[in-house]
Amino acid sequence: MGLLTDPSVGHGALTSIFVRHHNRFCIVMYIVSVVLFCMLAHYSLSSQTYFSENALLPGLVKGQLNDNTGSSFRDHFRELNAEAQHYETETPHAYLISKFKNLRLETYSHNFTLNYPLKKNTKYTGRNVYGILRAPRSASIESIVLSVPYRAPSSVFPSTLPGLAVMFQIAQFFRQQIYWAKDIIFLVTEHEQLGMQAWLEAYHGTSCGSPGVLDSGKLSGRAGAIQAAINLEIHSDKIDHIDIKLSGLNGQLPNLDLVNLAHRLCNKESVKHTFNNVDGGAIGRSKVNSYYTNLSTMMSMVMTQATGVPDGNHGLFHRFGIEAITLEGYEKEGRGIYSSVFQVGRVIEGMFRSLNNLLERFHQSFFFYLLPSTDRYVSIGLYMPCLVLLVGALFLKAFSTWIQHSSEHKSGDSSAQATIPERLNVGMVSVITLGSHVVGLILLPNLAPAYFTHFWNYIPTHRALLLGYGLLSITIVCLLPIIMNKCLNSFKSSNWVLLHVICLLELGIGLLCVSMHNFSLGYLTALVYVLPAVCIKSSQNRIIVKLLWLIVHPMCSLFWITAYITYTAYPELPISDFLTKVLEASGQWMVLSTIDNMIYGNWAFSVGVLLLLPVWTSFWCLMFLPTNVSQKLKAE
Amino acid sequence: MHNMKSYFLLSFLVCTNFLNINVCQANHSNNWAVLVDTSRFWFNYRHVANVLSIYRSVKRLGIPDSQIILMVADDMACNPRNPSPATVFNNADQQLNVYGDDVEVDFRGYEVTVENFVRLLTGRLPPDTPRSKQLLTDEGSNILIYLTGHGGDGFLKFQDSEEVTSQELADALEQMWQKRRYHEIFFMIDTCQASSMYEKFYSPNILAMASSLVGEDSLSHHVDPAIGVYIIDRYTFYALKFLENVKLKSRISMKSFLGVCPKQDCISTVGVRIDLFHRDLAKVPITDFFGSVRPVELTFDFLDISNTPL
Amino acid sequence: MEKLLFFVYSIGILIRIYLSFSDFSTSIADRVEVSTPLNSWKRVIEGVSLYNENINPYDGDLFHETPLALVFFSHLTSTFSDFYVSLVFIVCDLITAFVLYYTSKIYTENLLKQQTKTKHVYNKEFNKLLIPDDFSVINPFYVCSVYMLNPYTVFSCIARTTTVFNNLFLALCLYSMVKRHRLLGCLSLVLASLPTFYTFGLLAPLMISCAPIDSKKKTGSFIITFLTCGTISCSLLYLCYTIMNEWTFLDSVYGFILNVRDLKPNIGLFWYFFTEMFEHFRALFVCAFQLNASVLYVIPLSIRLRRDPLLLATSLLTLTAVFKSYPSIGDVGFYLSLLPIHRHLFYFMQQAFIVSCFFVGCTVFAPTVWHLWIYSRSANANFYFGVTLAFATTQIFLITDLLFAYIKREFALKHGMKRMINGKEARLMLD
Repeated sequence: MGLLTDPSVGHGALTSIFVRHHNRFCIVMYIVSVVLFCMLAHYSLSSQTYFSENALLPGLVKGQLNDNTGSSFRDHFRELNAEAQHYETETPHAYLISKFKNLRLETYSHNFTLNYPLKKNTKYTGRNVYGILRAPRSASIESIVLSVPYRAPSSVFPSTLPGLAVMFQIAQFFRQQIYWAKDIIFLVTEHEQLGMQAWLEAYHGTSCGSPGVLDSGKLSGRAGAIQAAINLEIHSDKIDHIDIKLSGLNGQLPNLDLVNLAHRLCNKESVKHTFNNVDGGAIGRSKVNSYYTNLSTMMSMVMTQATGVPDGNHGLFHRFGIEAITLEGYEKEGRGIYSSVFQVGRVIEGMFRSLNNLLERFHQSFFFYLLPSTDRYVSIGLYMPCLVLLVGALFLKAFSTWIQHSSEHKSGDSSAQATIPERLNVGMVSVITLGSHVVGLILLPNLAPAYFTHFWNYIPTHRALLLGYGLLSITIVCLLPIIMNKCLNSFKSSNWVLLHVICLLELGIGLLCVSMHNFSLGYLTALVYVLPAVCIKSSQNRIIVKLLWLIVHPMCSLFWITAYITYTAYPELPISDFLTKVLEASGQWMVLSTIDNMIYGNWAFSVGVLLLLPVWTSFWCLMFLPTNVSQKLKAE
Repeated sequence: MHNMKSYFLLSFLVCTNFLNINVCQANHSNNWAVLVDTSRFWFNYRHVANVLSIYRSVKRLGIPDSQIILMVADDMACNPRNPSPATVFNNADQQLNVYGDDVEVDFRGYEVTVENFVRLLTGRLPPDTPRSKQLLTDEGSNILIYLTGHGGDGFLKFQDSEEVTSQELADALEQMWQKRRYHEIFFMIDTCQASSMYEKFYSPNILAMASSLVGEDSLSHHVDPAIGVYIIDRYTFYALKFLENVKLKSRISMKSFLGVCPKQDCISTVGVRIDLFHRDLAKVPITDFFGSVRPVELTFDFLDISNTPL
Repeated sequence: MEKLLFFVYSIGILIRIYLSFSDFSTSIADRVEVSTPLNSWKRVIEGVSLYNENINPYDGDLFHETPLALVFFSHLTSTFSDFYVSLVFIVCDLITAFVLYYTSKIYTENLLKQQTKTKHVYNKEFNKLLIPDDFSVINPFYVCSVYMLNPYTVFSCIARTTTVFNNLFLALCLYSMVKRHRLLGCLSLVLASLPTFYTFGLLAPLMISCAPIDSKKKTGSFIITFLTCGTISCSLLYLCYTIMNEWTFLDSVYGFILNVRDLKPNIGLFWYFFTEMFEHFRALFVCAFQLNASVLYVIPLSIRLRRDPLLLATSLLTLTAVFKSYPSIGDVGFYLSLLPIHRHLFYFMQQAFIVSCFFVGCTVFAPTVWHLWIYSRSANANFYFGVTLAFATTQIFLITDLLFAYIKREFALKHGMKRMINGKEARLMLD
């Protein structure tokens, strides 16, 4: 094998080219990755969506939902509005239960409690209501869920009462049919995603977040294993377009077949359907999407997916192997053509008929994709190379650093002198790595925030967290250079290549692992961190590089993002108000991330604290560790 | 002497004319049908509709249930997804329930396997097999074999889990020939790349017809929007339309049946194999395979049946 | 030096104690990379409780330890509470680290002595290839710290796998190899190999190291070593028979290992192949794989590496850890800690960087891909096997690099670092 050649002769020609110009190669790889990513939205790289699951038979059935199956939609809606006006801030549970019973469904209610983790003795309770329509001629082995999050009139989010009335209409119609092979669960949840999470945890008998935080109670009635779920958020009875939302918790996405099913059925019933509200929204052949629309749709999907926060109740189903989407119906403002609730109802009916035809869970189509528009997708084989290029730049840098160091080392005189400092080198490197990881472990969302809020329990939670994390970060940032320079003067070495290589490798492998679960988070983090990491050298880093690295500190990155969002939302604010707003918003972000982690198991915050912070700290140490060369320069 | 010989010859000719037997060509004495649907699951509704429609035609044209082996791999009539239970339709107008009240399925559900099919054809069954599951043919039997389901180049899928290859099928038919289990076979197959299934046949007296050639897919005809499935395949649809015009005593020939689905109707090209069949197709009536020959005995004596118990 | 050693030991013990008594222990013990059907603690407890109820634990497909281990664990669990059982495992790891420390020390000292004897033969310019004196101080320290702080051995200890005891006996065997103590060597080898079977290949380096330097009596010595091992294993097997009063344990222990009956995924190569295997080919492939794992490399490597039995032992242990039917990361961690013993060969190793990258990468990817396969249902078995295959390939690269480094060093010592052929520099290639 040509690989195992004599090292004293040197490396192959190709390797030496790579090593000598590695900085240029890294920059080129970075640029190629960004360009490739932008090209993904173009027609040549994305593909037309298609159905992989033959059993779905999408859109073959004529939709039969109409107003003549019992009470009309108007009656349902009027009744619901009247009831909702009585309860400004609460959910009318008794009314919902009696309504489900009138629709002749098996009705149950489900109580759950949230023990708020960041404040002592704070509990929130909630109650979900659900009705089960049993399949007339088969055993209750599988089921499909139709859910609506209840929003009282005082809620800040747009109303979902029309959606609830649609659900009643659908339940009324479905109850009279005999062709259901699976149970259908009609679910009304409370408190947005909290109620949904509690219901799912109780249904499956598990707990997904930190123990003791969400007490999901017990369900008194169950149907079979849930195969798929549709969440409805319809804001009005005159619907302009349906937006199909699919981003789930931790960036998990539903099977592409389910999304395609929704788009095909909207097409069939002539309902305008969009993805992320950005693409044209035209129907069928009149849809013409420009490259820039596609690119902005794809970017908004990446941004939503990167936060790991689901944009609807559907996102909580994915971790249980249940494919789910949300259909959000926007109100038609002004005059013009609108879609009626019956068209939307027929879309849902068509989806349920297709889901009814399924014999197995969704497994044929893609689980990892990016959507530039409603009818085009980019598969993982095309978008993963973008990240691999970025991580490859990190690996190339590590490889070149190592090769350069070992070739210098071998051309040195005797090997005896190198061993003693080398031994301590390993010790110091392992101490630094271990130390930064221990700091990261302590700052985990289920450990540190509780202490911070307990310690500062007289100020609001978000300020406490901000203060805690901020103080700790500033301490680390300021103290470490001093410690490195003064206390470790005795441990000098020519360069700290080992630490450098370990940091680069850790960053690269960590980013790759993260992106296997959530590509968007991995890619955006890589875009931010790879360039500064590549600029850092093993010794003698310039001030500019140190400043650049300081700018990308995880907390600073949070500030920049919040600042940008605040600026676009409120461009007219004076500087002091702007800064205050940014700080408050950042604090709120941290609280939300922490709570998300403790209730739902969202690991975006944990990744920041366990991967990015230790790597950042190790690099920061690397830049300030004393080296022999600088000593020589000072002497001269 | 010469007069008696000519008298016998004349009466023999008269008798055979009455009996409507083509004495110089066909000599089959009974008709059997083996109708197989190999695919299961709700979205393959059309295959069940295919095979049940052929069953109805064949029964209408005279083959009795005792001489029809019907193998249906899944139960569509009682599937919980069927909006009109206990029915199977082959047309969107839902005029004709091909499931009906008197359908006799011999191999149902998971009994439709490659092993059972080959054993049925070759007759190598355990001695305790019920009569309805045996193909009790002899050297005078004309057999109609109809297969439908999902197929590929050289194989036919059974139950989505196993396959029968064209070579296995050809060998089974050769075994039937060696054991004198058939007189003539009409082999009809409606799957994708169907003609690959008959390409390996090497036994005599087999006429084969397939819905598509190798490399082509057989397409379904139309959707029933009330049930929500594709309800029948093109080739079978046009074959049935043709068979609707065939009555018990029709003299319509096999040759016209072979042209039943031209390319503009079927979209795939219908394949035909005639080299193993030695009769002139224009002279073979379609009832040789789709109808039933009932051996008739003429008697000129009186029989007293007044005291015979019923 | 002693202070650093103490420091390393205390960190190792602290990590093990902290992790054993936290929530991580159960989740780590459940991981398939750590616990295999052969070394899982859950199965041991199950077998012991069956034994205490006078039910034969070998009746079902559950318990695959030898009856000696059964009796030992039964006494262990009945005498100590759960807390102390964890401590027993930690103490075992500690003793193993000690033994490896002394093994490395004695080996390096022997190497240095040999070097001083033959030094006058070498040219002055080869001085940089010679082993410096401080290696006998530093190498054992490295060996010990790698064993104590290596995540593979730490996880293996926390999960209470029986590989910990195996590693202890293997370390004792290696110690007796460098001390040339025949009886201890045979006893520890048999105790280590009786449950796992594949390490019987270490008989070759044991025979070589226990043989006297004088070449005339070598064959006799080999035979004596072989017979000693044979006698000890037979008597231990007979002891097992008397404990159980029947021979069914042979099928449960050796039949299970050789026949590969359980196809649960692990870091080895067997499970994926045999899931896809047709029944009538199974016997052929089982034989092929088992020959590869057990005997194929013993004789060729012994002939080539007869002058360095410890390197031979290291390579055999590596190959066993890669190719055995149910490997776990405890085996990997053990041979990784043997690598610093051969630190004088590191200069000639070419692929250290890529190998370590892949080691770390595969270790991190395996749980990720497992999660995607089993929990998210987005990936499938091929991904996990791909990662496992990459891991096995990396280990193969590591050991071939090490062995080739040995050969290069031998060559360089005799003939110098650079050779000139026809005025141009020559490169050593492995063809």
